Amino acid sequence: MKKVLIVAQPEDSCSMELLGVAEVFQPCLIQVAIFGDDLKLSKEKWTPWADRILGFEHPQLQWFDTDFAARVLAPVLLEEMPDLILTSRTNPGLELLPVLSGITGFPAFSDCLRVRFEDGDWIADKAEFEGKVIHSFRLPVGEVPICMSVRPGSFQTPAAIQKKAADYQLMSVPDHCPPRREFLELLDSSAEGVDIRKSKRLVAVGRGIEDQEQLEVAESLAKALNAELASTRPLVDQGWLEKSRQVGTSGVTVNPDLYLTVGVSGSFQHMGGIQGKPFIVAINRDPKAPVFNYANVGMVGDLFELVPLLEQEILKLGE
Amino acid sequence: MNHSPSAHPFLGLSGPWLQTILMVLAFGIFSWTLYRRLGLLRRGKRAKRLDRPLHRMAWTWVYGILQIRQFKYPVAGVLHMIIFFGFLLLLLRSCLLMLEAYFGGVSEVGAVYAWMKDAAALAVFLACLFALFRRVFLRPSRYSDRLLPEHHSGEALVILIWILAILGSDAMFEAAGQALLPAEEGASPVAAGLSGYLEGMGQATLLQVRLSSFWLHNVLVLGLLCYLPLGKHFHVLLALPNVFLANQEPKGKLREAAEAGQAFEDLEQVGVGKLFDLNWKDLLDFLTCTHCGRCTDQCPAYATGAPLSPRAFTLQGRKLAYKSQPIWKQTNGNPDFWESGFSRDGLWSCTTCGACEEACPVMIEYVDKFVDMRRFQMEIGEVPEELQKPLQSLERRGNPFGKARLRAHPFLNSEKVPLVSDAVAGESVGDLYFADSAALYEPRANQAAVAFLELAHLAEHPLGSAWSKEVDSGHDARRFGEEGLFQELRDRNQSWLTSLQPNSVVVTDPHGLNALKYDYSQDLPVLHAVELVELWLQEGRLQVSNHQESIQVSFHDPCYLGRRGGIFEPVRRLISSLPKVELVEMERNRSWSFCCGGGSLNLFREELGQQRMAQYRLAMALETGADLLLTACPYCLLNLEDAAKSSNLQSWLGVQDICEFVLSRVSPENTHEKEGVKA
Amino acid sequence: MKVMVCLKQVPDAGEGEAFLQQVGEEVQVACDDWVLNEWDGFAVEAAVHLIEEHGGESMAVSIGDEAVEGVLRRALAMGVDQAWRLQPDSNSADDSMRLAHSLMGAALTWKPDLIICGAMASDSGNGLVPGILAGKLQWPFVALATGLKWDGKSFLVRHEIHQGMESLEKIGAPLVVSAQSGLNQPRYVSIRGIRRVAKREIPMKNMADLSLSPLQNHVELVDLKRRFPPSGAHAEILQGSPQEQISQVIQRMREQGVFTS
Ligand SMILES: Cc1cc2nc3c(=O)[nH]c(=O)nc-3n(C[C@H](O)[C@H](O)[C@H](O)COP(=O)(O)OP(=O)(O)OC[C@H]3O[C@@H](n4cnc5c(N)ncnc54)[C@H](O)[C@@H]3O)c2cc1C
Ligand code: SF4
Ligand code: SF4
Repeated sequence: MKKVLIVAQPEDSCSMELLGVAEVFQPCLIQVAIFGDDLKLSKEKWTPWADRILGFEHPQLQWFDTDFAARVLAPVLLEEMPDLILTSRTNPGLELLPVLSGITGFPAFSDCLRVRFEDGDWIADKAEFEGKVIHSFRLPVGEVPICMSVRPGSFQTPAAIQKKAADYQLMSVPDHCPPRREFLELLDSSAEGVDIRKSKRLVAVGRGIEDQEQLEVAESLAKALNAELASTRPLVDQGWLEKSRQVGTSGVTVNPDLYLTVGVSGSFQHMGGIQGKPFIVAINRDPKAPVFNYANVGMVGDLFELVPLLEQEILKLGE
Repeated sequence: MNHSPSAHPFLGLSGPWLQTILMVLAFGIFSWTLYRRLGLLRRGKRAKRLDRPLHRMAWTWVYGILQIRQFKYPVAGVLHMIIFFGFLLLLLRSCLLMLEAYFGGVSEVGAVYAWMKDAAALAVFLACLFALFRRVFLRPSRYSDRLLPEHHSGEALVILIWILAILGSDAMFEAAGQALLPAEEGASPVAAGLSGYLEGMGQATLLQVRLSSFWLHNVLVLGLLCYLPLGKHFHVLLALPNVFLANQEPKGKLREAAEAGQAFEDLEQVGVGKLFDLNWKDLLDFLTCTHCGRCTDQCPAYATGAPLSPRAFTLQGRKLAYKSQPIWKQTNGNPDFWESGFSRDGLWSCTTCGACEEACPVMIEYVDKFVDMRRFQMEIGEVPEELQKPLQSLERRGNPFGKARLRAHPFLNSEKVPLVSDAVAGESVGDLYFADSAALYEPRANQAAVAFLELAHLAEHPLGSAWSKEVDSGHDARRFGEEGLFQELRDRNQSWLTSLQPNSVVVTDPHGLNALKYDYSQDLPVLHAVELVELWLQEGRLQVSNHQESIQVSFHDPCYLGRRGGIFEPVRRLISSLPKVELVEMERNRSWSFCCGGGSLNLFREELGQQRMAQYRLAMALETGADLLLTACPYCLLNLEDAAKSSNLQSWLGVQDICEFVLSRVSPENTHEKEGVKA
Repeated sequence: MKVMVCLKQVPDAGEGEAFLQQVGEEVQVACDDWVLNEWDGFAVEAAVHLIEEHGGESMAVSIGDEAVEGVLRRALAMGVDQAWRLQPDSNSADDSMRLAHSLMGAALTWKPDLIICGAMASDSGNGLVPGILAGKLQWPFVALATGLKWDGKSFLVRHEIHQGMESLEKIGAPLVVSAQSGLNQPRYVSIRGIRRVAKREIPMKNMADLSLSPLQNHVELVDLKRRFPPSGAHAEILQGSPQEQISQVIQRMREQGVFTS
């Protein structure tokens, strides 16, 4: 039977999705490594899902010191030789996974979007060129353990996996492993005013909104979508929205997953501020508006009609 | 003799002695200060400013002596002319009074001069009084500068009062003489008048009044001489030389980054980072400035609230120069220019529109200095963040928008404008349309260019294009100081231009016009679209319809078409030849046009003022009550149209390119005819 | 202080994906327009800045054929003191383990106190090499640095952790750091600056120069084909009544995984 080892990061809300990857390898043995200075909660969380839980408990793991975690975990990996070592490609994941690969010498695969079994091969997909292309690789499963990071949101936590309550094993943290990173301070960078660059979903509003009062239409859509409000320059110039929300050549550059424009014509100065390959939805009443040259999906019509409808539907989804 | 000071000792010294002591003192101080001040110039870099001496003399006559630039500001201009010419006359008088200390009676040279002198003195007196009044009570905004902490009006006041005192003491001197011994004739009327009030004084008192007035006058005059190099009135001495030495290159031409015979790449140092990296004429500019503030008054960056005032720049430069070479203390080293207080934001705020240079009565130059300073900043990598992307796009893709060549608007590759490929030997490609980046990659600018090409088609004027080979003209890369990039772009364009050898090059972008004329070394006629359209209309090759609504239009002169390119009247002729179209000029038109914010790379910079230049300009257009604002530059079009959008005005003031406008008024017959011919 | 920066050249992916060409069933990368990976620019700036401030020496390394001299020259123009070009370990040029192996050789030979890499390469988007390198060297590794200072004894690194949070940490040398975009603003390199370093000799180092033995028993992932993700150039304009359009757009957004991320 295949062995899958999940490295669960303490602050990772998507770590359960990694079970979705493991599901592809069913039937398999699922091991979960958990970290922290007190493991009670995460142990409970994982118990129904795993065959075995490896607990690493140490004061240095109160905040997730990936360097420390990698050094205590790596010897275990070399001993266990799981077929697949999974972790989310969060910021700490970007640190942890390659270091594990470097210490163990196991090959690494980064930012997996999809895994499938095809003609006897395990194939994994990842995005390249900021999402412009999808690149597939064959994974040498069975030949060597593979370290893999998974893009959050690409897999779903399965409902189907049924495990008996997992074995719990508290791992000893070796003494010869002094921490090398000294944590000084936690900083909340989002507290320094709105930073729409950090948001993965943006609702961009343009002059089609006509009036400051009517901004509310777009604002409540953004809220429904859990998105930030972005803007074209004229609205910022009128003082309706903060400058930090202006996307474009003379505003900020953003790199979201979703960019939904409302009454935006799509001038190059505005669209030039969008990086990567977001899914662009455009709402504009002018079928010839240049924004449709950039968008993936367009709706031609009155925003005051379409936007509230869209908002309602999205709110329904959430229920 | 009439109680000449030459004959009466004063303060225990005989006239000639006293005068000699005063003169030795004064000239001593004056020569030393002058030596220190002008010595600054020797620390600057080289510059050639003595070519074409005859032309320069004529130039100095017009701009230096007749001072025709003064009249753009009529009140100040007239005042200045009165004081200037009056002063010339009075100068003679003052010299005579100096001599009077040696040779009694030389200052009495007859009635005609006396009258003239009095008239001049009176005029100067009144002008000074009025100027004082104006400074103190009317306070034209031009005299304060938000970027200058010190207030310079104080100095102007002192000088005005000083001049009044000179005039007064002279008058007193003469009046007392009259009272002592009334002359039959040759007496100055003012003196004669004043002397009436002195009657009744004893002879001895009168003599004392006369002597002390005389010496006061001489001390004041010599003191003024010593004072001149210390303050803004240095211009009294330097204005004429500065005008004589002014830049005589065409207005749109930039100072070269490397001296002739030197390769830019091999330069040890590029541009201006420290004070004495400037050339001597730049330093002379600093010394000459009159503080008049005309430059700043015209500057669009200053007007919109950006941290740039050309006058403040010059005065900060002057202060720094004086600090590095004080008159009585040791000479210091070569300071970093930023020590002057001039800011980086100020440096990058200049659009190179040239309004300041057009206004300066003493021909002080700005754009060359700024560009040289930017060259230095480029060299050390201190470039505003927003500019990095478009500059890299220029480097990699040949246009600031970062578009791949295949994204160029392929309009040009049509039967209307055939794409000319490499020249066939012996065959001419005729007239060539050089589109430049905006028309190729910016959709709105592209529409305007298409309108022009449509007109060319209707007028049956064949134009070729080499758009697939074109890269950006590099005009603004150069003006932003990226000389290396400019040279690369220029070389790329020149290589195909040389192989194609067109008869002439036609542009719609005035920046391209300026680049091809003055930045490139091709010797080709370069025409702007408006010149051709005007010609076509004149020759009847384009017919405009009479059955149109009447309309009032205003025209925004693009800086590089008008002020720099000198193309003003063709546009006016063009517009006036259109039936039912009335041109209403903005107050700031032709060479006084107000920059829209600048083209190309400027488009990527967020202006630092409270308002954008284009919005400011638009407000001026609105004042005319015109229905439509026309322009003839793709970037002006973009900026002004954007301003209209931002101010929610678009509904009642449209912005159009002049070619689009003409196209909209061309008679349908004209169009049909052509189609008919085709079919 | 000695700082080494690791550079990668990537296709210039500004606008117009001309370098991505559909050939039969797959998409091929055909690029003759290479630029310095954007994140590596932050790394170079950080290195140059640290040396300007504290003295020492900086070096840029890149792995590949002569073509990579372009990005090394850019780094020289930005102010790094020297550059090495490393000969690739094998033909599989993009294998992270092999790349890290070569870089390890350079690090063990030149002995830097700090290695700075870009957080990831804009082409592969992997972000693996810096961490693998650190793992192999047994040095600590901090990813996504947005601040980097030297206090005389240790490095103070500010870096991104989970959602909008950053942490400030103190770490001694030697250390590997990967640079994130907020770290600095790379200085502009003028064309003249690039031309002036055009003639600088860039030494090439092979495995022997770096006293490296070839990587043993390494199993590579097998590179299969690339393809374009589904979606057109011009927007698909939705038809039907507003209500129908809305359902369709929600459907599309769901397909794109908009609601799961
Ligand atoms: C130097 C310079 C720099 C600039 N930098 C930036 C920048 O950084 N960012 C930026 O955004 N802009 C920038 N601009 C401005 C840019 O050129 C455009 O003017 C601006 O982006 C247009 O904003 P917009 O799309 O909101 O307005 P518009 O172009 O007026 O578009 C409004 C759109 O709304 C549609 N609409 C109207 N009513 C409705 C309705 N009821 N329902 C649906 N649709 C409707 C219209 O069809 C139209 O397409 C810059 C301009 C310049 C000159
Ligand atoms: S060139 Fe124009 S923008 Fe620059 S300082 Fe002069 S007036 Fe101001
Ligand atoms: S530079 Fe010229 S215009 Fe400006 S203040 Fe000085 S003299 Fe006047």
